[in-house]
Amino acid sequence: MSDSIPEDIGRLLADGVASLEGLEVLLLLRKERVRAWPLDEIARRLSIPQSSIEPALEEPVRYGLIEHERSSAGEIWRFAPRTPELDALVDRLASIYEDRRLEVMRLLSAHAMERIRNSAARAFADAFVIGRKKDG
Amino acid sequence: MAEAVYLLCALTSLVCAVLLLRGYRASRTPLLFWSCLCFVGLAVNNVLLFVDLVIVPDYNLRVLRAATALTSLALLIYGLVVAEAK
Amino acid sequence: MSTADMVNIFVQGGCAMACWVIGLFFLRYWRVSGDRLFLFFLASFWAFALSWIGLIAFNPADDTRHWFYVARLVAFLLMIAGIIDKNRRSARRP
Repeated sequence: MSDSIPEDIGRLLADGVASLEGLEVLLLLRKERVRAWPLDEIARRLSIPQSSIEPALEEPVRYGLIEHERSSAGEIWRFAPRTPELDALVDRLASIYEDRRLEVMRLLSAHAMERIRNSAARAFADAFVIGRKKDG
Repeated sequence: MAEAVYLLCALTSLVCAVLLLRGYRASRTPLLFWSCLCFVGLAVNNVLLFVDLVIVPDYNLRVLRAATALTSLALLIYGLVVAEAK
Repeated sequence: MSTADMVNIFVQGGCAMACWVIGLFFLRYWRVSGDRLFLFFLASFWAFALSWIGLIAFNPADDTRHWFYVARLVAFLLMIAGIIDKNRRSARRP
């Protein structure tokens, strides 16, 4: 009997990956990790519109999984985990995703729901601040 | 004494409604819209309470009061359950 | 007991239940966001619930009924306190 998805993978999914598109992009870039990927190439390989890919790349870049370079040729992204631990973590994520795809997707959508609830709560609470305050 | 309470409650409700409306225009979060409606309704409810107290107690008004309260709360529950966010 | 009385009690019961549920939602929001405002609001709405339950349970003569509306005052005071507290905290944050 399989046990639930390990906590560190869960955290990676919540903070570093954040969406199903993010996961697909991450794993694609990882498969051919040496090359640099322009946005249209990623879009073509995954059959996802470019407009969905750019926001999906934000979290992995911020987390230190993907590198973003802006050159004269254009913008490219590369799979480049900041530490070897992250690299190993993504390896485990890739294998888990292969075996238990549905579970991973369910976990991702649960995170998405939580994020929505969080933003609604924050918007509600922030409404009661009288007078303009700068965002912390 | 009770009159002051109801007026204070109506005023507080109104203030909450205004704040939530402002918040809704800033963030467009549906929850804030429904919350705003709820507090408007609660303000109406408290004004009705005041009217009921200051003028002669009127039984018909009692059901109307309770109905406005229930409707307002139902709107808030709708916002919380269904229409939480964009 | 007239029909109006019965309808009134029914609706008041509905309000009490609604406030219970709304309080629970605010409880979850407090857990999710950590913002103390939600604690004030949930206490406020549960105070509303108590005021309605009190009205139904004790059904006092009109004169003494006012004491139950103190619960309503408490509820709104909690709300005001929550808003003031929120603004104080936001002002402190740079």
